[in-house]
Amino acid sequence: MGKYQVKLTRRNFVKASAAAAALTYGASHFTGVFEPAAADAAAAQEGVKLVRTVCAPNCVNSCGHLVHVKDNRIIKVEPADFPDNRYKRICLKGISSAMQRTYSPDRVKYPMMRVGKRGEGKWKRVSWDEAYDYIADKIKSMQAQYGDGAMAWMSMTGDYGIFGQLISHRIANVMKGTILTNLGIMGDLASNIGFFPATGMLQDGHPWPDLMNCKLNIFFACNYAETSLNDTRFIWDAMENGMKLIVVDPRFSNTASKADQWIALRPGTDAAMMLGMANVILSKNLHDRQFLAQNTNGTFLVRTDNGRFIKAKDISGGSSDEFMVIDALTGAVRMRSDAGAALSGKITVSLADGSKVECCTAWDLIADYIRQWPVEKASEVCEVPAEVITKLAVEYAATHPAAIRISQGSNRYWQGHQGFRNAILLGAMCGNHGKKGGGVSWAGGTLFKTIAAAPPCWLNPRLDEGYQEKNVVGSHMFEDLPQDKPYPIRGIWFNHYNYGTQMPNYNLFIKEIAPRLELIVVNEQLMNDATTYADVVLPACSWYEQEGELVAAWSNYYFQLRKQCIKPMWEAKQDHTIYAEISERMGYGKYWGTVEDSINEVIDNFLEDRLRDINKKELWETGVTRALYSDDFIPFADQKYFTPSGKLEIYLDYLHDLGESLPVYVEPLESNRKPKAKKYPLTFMNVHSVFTVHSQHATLPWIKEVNPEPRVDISKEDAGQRGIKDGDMVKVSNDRGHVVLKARVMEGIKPGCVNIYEGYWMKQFKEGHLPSLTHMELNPVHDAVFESNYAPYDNLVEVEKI
Amino acid sequence: MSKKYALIIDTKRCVGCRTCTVACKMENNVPLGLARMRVFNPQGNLHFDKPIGVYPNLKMYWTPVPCQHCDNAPCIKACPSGAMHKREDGIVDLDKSRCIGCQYCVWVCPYNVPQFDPEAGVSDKCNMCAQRLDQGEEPMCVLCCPSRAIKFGDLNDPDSEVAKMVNQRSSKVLLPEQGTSPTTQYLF
Amino acid sequence: MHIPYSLATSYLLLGTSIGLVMWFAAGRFIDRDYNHQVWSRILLTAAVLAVLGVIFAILHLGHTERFMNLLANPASWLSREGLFAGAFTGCTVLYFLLIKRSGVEAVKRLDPLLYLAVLAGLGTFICMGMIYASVQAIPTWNTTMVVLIDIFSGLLLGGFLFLVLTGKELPGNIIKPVITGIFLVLLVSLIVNIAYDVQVRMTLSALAAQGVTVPSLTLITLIRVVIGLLVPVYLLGKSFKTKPELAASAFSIALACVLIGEVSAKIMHFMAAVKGPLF
Repeated sequence: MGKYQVKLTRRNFVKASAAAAALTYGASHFTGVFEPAAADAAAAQEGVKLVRTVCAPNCVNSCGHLVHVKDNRIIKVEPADFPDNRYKRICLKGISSAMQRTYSPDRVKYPMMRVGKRGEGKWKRVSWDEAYDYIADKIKSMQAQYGDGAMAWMSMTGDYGIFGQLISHRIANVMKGTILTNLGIMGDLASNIGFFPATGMLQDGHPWPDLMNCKLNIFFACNYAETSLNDTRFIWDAMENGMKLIVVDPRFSNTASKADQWIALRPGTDAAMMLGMANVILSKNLHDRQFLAQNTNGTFLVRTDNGRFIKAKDISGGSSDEFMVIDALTGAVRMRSDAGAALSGKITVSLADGSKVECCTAWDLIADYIRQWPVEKASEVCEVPAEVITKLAVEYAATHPAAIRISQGSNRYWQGHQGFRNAILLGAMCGNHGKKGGGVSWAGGTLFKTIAAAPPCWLNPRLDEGYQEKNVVGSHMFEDLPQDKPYPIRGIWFNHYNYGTQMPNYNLFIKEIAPRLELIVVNEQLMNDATTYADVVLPACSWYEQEGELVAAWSNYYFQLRKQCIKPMWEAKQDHTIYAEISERMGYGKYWGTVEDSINEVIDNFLEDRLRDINKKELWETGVTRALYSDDFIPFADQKYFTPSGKLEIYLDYLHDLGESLPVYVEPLESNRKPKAKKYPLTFMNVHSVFTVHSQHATLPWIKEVNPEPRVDISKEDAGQRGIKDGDMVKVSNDRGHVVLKARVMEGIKPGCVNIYEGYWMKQFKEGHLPSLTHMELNPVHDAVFESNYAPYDNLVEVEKI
Repeated sequence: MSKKYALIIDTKRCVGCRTCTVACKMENNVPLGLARMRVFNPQGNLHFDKPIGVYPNLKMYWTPVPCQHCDNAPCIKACPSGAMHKREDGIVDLDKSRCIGCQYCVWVCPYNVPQFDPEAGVSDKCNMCAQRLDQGEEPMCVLCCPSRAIKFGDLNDPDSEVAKMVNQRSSKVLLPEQGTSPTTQYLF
Repeated sequence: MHIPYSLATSYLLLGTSIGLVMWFAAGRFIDRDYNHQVWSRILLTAAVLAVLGVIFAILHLGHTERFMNLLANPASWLSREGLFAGAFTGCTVLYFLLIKRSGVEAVKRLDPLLYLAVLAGLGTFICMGMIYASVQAIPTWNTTMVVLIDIFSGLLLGGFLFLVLTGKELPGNIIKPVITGIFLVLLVSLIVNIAYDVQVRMTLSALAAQGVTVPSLTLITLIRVVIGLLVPVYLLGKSFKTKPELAASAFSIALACVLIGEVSAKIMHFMAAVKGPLF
């Protein structure tokens, strides 16, 4: 902005101190710290209060909002300053949320109790006391009849604050109830199932500014331009800096449209394409043997009879759990040490019982498997031309540093973890892990780190009493709950979860699960598809009404504090308050302090010192502080992984019996090459759009102006075969359900695939509902690592004109 | 030398998110149904974007259209009330208190920028957030653009970022054949 | 495009009024002494139509109370039209009132006012047309044909109204040249309209080729050319030949056709207002 900017800055700097005095508590602290460009103008407006808060509607950006409040009403939001103003940002969703969701006529204004049948939509307004009494009595009677676990809490990620994510955990423990785990049913877990066993981290990624160091970046299933909107600026900066971007996606996504190259693959076959790339790299001998030998568990010896690692104690004379390798110099078996192990080799080992067993290095097993994936075969599976795969593989191997970013698009298949494991393998084969401008990134930032390091004492305030929390896997609900496994669950209290638009197999839930529940309580801001089947709906605060909340981010390493901008609308309360008050009713009031107490307790007890030892004073005063990750932090830069072996574990012996000790590829559950495709030939994706975070913004007036209604994206070819023209009303259906909406006939989607942007409310479809098309099939590999993941894109459907 | 403020739009960075549309509506209290900043897809529509080309050789781009703040603005010439005027800093602004709501500006603008607000009985159009500029702030669309695709500055200042961008990269204006001499320019 | 009905009404009323005054002036030139009663009736009608036209024009504004601002920008064809229309209306009303008060003797003295009204009317026609003809953004308008269309529309409507108001009372020395004149206006109008329709059609198909959605104007074109012009030409031509007595029924049908034609012309004018693609 040249001189204009300079002038602007200087002027504001001078004015800053004057403005500070006039501003309210919320804003006054950071005027001295940051350049208060926005504060300046608003200060001129009489009676306008500025509050810095955080918008975090399950969105990875966690934008700071500078909220302009006049007469207890939000009149404007602007992006709030950060110590690093590359993170000063906002988007259409955040703006619409502040201005229109907060004041939506759909707001849950008072505690409401159902008067008609479930789903009928008849409600009566009750007082908080009545609601609490009803719920408390119900919980008491259910717990007396079926056991403490009969009442369950289930939360989702509707609010990325620490309470938003974890408070249901705490209330369940206070009430001795069940925690219905959400990791799997969320539909994001396959990523972690691929990432965690290899690295020991649920997720980690190179910070966005590191893209400036990158020469080549391959995005597998990343549509950041829609799903991580505010981070895209870093990508375009890097591209202006010479980074080449290749996007692999069945859709010509907004991100793909910006790339140097778009590779359209068959949905869910990322792993096959990567195996083809690995095959090229291996056969051209381009792999980084030293990196593999040094930093992965590829050198560890594996018994060929059972696929397990052989440990020192298995061998005569040995006793420890240490892994065994072949010494590169002597060729003898020995315990691993820092270096000198052979990457490749076969050897017969005498076991403690005197028997002999054939062993080879893990890498040899992986390499053998890769050799089964000649590029032609990979091409046949993923439907990417062989020469494209070959060129990409060579380019990736030859460019240093080169990065892979892989995200949730590929994770939303039943075998979605395989893409992540193979991506990690590719990164290892080319020595890219832990290198500046390289790496294999799956998200990043601090948000998942805070979840992983969340303090047990806060999550379970009965820890001192020796109370063991009761976890029941949420994604197993469809199988287990109707059978009262592992014990009867008769009530669910949902918070931050619009299960009505986001859950798998919606029809099954309504038919099989809901009728078994004697109590469904929902904390919600809006009367939406989550409240439809509830017995009691409790009005929850919007971000802007909350008393306080601690928010981390995927995008960066900042902690931010939410501060109250306006008084709670109508009778809305923050979940923390609701849960504290119901606990009081039940006689468990002593477990709850104030919101501020909770925030302090969480920070003070984080299990990770870089999160715990943050500058709390700065956080409370300015509303933002950086977790103690340095500016040039690169994950795994020291090649230390948080795995049992400390190495990057590309071979997982405990999955051998499930056939997945190696990074393999299997077909998606509802692949379009399976018999079911005869009846339902189209792969149905339901990707995230830039216009809403799940259901949260889909119905707001400004959002509807720029994105009026749902459409099903269908290729010209598929539409032509079905006589469908753009804008025609069509029915998308499979054996689980159907949805009726208009078609968007376009070239931008691979033939054989259809897509509906997810998040639309039931009332936005002409008939039916999107989540009724999806399923919740369990995956034993997922269950062996964490828990089964919801695979929302792994569906077959047929589309017909109506 | 007098100022010549301009919005420079980098189409290579725009991802079609419509944040500019919404941010503008908030800042300027633009009523529902109208927009001062519209983002067009290649089809020339405001929603349901589709790429152009034939699978798999596709292209996608968006064209955010704020007021073009023309040097030869047909709306100013046409406006009978003198409500539409050019400020000294180059901004084409509308004095709503003078506007009679004849909608002539709606017709004459080849970019369809002025829109009639039936509630208020006057036209509504982008004024580069003049009220913010007067406070020393950037236009709202510039401040909020997630991709940093919209730049603002003084074209008459050769050291300004916008002047440099326009000089260094290939830029074009919309509908040059209309002879309107827009100051809003698009980088490719 | 949305059709501003009050504006279209205003143009029809004002155009008719100007046309009427012009034919009146023509009549006065032909026979400087004819019936004062007829004059008074014509001028009253013209004045009322002009005032109604101005009212309808003001009604079209979003802020009617600020209508004086309309005249603020002399560079704007709209302001110019406002000035001329105001002048025309003022002159016509004044002319009528003065004649009414001063009696038929004053007529010669007041001639300059009539010339002024005619000139202001012509100016109104030109500005009215130029408001649209100067809009570069709308290619179907951006042609001077629009000015001609407006002038002929006014002359046609005004002419027919002139005949309706004076028909049976007019002496043959006036009626003959006036009917000849209207017939000629009709013929030229027919040519101009067909030429303009061809031009609009070509412009629209060029726009359609650029991906712009264009309206289908076939029906309206048919109505305005066949019903609005061809039929009256035929009927008027016929009654012209079978003079001296006007075939009253033929004339009424011709009048109705002209009305239908001119109303549909205005609708088409606004429907055809399509802008080119943005990029």
